[in-house]
Amino acid sequence: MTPATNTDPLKMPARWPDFALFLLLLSLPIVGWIALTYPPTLASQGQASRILFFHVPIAWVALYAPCLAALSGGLYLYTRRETFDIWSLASARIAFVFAIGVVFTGGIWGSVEWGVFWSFHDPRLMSFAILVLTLASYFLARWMTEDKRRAALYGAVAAILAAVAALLTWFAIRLVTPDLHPGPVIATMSPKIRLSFWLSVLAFHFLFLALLRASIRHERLRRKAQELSLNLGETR
Amino acid sequence: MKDTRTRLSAMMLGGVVLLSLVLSLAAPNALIANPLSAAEYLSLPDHVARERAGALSAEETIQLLADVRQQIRPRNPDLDRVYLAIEHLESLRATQIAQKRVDRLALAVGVGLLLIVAFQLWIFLDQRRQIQSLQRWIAASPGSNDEKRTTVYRGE
Repeated sequence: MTPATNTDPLKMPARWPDFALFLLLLSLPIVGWIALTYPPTLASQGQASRILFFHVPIAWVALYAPCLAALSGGLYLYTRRETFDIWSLASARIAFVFAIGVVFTGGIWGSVEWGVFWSFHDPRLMSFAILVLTLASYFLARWMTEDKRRAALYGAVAAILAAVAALLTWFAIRLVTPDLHPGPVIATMSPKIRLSFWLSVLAFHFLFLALLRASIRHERLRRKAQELSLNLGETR
Repeated sequence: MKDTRTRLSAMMLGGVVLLSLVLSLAAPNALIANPLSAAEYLSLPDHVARERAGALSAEETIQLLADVRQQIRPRNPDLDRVYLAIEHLESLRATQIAQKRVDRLALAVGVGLLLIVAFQLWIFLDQRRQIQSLQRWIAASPGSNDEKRTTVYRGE
């Protein structure tokens, strides 16, 4: 077996994971400590208000990642290069994990502050549910298609639909009056809260980069293993 | 010219001293001043009183409460006992809700982290499985008896 060559210009440099992981390991404890101690506690929500520094950055990643998946999917449709399909799949996986995280962390917080876990009348909650279902359909479409090229094709289309769902979620509280979910709050934040918020957003983007790199490596290895297994099976 | 400058400096210094004096005298009054007096608070309708009291800071509320208690104590001698019972109940309630909020915050953070860690763990375990299956294939493939070292692709 020959080792892989690093001739693909779309491959991330090998040092990326170490760098993203280093930034992540450095920033997460600092940001966690800042989020718990630096910004003032809101009188209306008490300590529960600190969910802002965890739930919202996760939600942002859950909204960006489908856009990256759609961009990669679009590039795959245009070029038919497998690398773009790998990027799309890795981004969609992270988007799915983070979107489920958003739904559950928000619901747990809402069960105290709103008295209910979920509201079927809230545009932000319902649009996020649609995003989760769209991402689930992405994996379902890939899983149910045996032909790899066709699976990548369906995946690219589903990723574009997921990005549309993500954009709808982003604009949901800006276009429709929210029922339970608060509207945009960044402009109303005090300086200490705003600083802590942006730092936590930064830390979660390092987490996204580290996970993305790990997921891309994993998918490349999985495909290489499948390919080699098939080749070895044929030569027997 | 020098005299004019000296006189101007003296006047400025005097102004600063005077301004500091006025501010130092006005400051305590500004701190004590309450936006809602006891008499006004007691005369308001319930919903308005609730709204106005809800907008006060902790210091202003303490001041208002002290004024109100002082004003109505002559008419209601048992007021302090009622107040103590309410204060105790509110303290218990505040502790309960604070505990509940911290519990839910910890649970939300825990669930989020669990999902992320589970995802990362799945990547590690699946990678390990792929490498092991590759090694099995290589061991079973023709020509594997060679002493040649094989390099496993790990996605680098």
